[in-house]
Amino acid sequence: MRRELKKIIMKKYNIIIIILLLTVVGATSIKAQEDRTHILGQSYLRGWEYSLKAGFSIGGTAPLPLPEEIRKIDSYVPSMAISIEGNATKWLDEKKIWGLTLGLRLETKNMTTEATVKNYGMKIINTNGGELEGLWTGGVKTKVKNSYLTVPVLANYKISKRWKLVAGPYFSYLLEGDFSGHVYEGHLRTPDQTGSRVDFTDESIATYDFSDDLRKFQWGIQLGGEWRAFKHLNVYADLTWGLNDIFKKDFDTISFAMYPIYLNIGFGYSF
Amino acid sequence: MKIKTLTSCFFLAFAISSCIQDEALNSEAAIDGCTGADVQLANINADEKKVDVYVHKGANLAKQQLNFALPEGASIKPNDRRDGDIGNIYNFSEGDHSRSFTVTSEDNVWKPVYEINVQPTELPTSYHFEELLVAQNTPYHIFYEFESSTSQGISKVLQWSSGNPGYKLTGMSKLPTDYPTVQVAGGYKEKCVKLETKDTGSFGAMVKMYIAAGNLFIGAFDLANALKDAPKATTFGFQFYKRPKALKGYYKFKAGPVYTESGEPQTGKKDRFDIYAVMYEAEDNSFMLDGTNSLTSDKVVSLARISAEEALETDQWTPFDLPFKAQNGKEISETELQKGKYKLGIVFSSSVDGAYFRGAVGSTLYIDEVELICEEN
Repeated sequence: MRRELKKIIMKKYNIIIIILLLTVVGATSIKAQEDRTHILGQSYLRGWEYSLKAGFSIGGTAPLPLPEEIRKIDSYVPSMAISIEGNATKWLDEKKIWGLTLGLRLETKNMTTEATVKNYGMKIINTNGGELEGLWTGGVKTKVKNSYLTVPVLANYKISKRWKLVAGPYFSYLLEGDFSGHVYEGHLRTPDQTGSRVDFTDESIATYDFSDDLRKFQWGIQLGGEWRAFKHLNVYADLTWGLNDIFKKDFDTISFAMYPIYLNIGFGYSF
Repeated sequence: MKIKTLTSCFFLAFAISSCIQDEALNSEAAIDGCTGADVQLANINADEKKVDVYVHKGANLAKQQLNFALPEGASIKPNDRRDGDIGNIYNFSEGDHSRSFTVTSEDNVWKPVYEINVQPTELPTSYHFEELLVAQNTPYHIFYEFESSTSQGISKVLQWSSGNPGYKLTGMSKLPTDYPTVQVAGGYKEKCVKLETKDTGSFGAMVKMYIAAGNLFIGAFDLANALKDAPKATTFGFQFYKRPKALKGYYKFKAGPVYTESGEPQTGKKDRFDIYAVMYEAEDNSFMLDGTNSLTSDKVVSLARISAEEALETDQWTPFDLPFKAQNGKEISETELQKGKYKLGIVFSSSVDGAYFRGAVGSTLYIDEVELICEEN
């Protein structure tokens, strides 16, 4: 009776199970472990497979191609960005060549860059609501640190016993966003091309923060490969390429769209 | 192995698609500076798209050399050619000495039209603070003094400068009366000038300019320098042909409650105001003393300044009478004076060390009916 109930849950609430696996793994009793092993065994026979993945992301949030406003990238620091994911794969054929994966991933996409720009849209906001807007020519330091809850929907193709390729769209919800930085060594033309010139040198910098202008929903495509090193352990690499601007539609200070493009590398554990 | 390939593919793709594009032509189109053989002072107002060029008396308006400082790649041309225009020499002799010039950006997209007024003038010697410059698009007050021409001479005009354009950058002001330098009623006679040391908000803190003293001075405010070197942004002086004896006028002053230094409150320190007039040697008409050296430069020949003992708080209009004293062992040479090789600057500030961001928010100085007493020629 109890087992049957669980089977129904299995069928209808795969995603919830994944979340549970994600959160309770490592903190379960031996009894539960046995139960789950049993369930996993059963679902494996029905073409279901589950795995947990952990890795880090390296890449950039950048306009593509780089717009003419950006003259030079002076420095780039990817900084550590961790991701964890739980997913379920349903193999569609007997031989388990083609399959479909639905996942849930918690990830951060970070970077820090210093660039030399020319006539780059800039807005500096005072806490009393006043704004200093204009075109910046000089140095811009940008720090991006965005956390997402991402759902990838991927087609699987098994090339060999050990190799698997995946591709498909992903949908992200921004949990926490930070897009900020400062401008240095240059001049601002305010409020527009025909305005006054204000120089910034040495110590004088101006900070900006566009975090509140980040779009909550983002999507893109994911392409990747997985190599089965041992029976349960995989090594994987996924490229995620954002296809909508990280900023809201009505945000026009930065005149070009920016996309997160990150490579995620790590290990996976298949149950 | 394959991961390595994948990784390198990714970076290759990224690198190829991210190539730096060809540099675009500059889109900036503005007048950043204006100098010339006869130019004593040029007040550039980008909000109004207007440049008031003050030239010395006797300057030939039919042949005005104007050298404009423009953004990289931009060009400037008068809208209508006149006889006598040769290169950067322009004919301003007709009508009201006003001409339209178009600045064109390097990319040929931005073409603001500036009104350039050339005005021969001599410094007036009495200041009433009754008039403001008509400036529809400027969010702050610009004080203006006017003495109509006598039978023999030209009208004497003075466009006072202040740090208001710099304060505009902070975004703290919604109304003209929110600025540190404003015209108010209740003067010694009719209207007067109110100078108040103001908080610069988060923007000011960010650029380490925590307060903005209200100031009013003869000279020009160089906005470009406002954030990188504030004392340098206030440049003082205008050509002067007389020997000054004293600076007289009326003031009221109340110190702000909390004296701060770089944003930090200091105990036991009280803010005070400053009033001074300085006469200095200016071999070249573009030479100006500024907030960094107006009191210390060896070019200074004579100085009249209110002392710390005299600069007291008072809520009644109180007269001040500051005698000019020779500085650096120098004397005013009559021949140099006639050649126009001296400049005179008058400076009022609600916080004496405001240029270095030391003072008290709320310090308020009212000034009215100021007169520069000179020796009769």
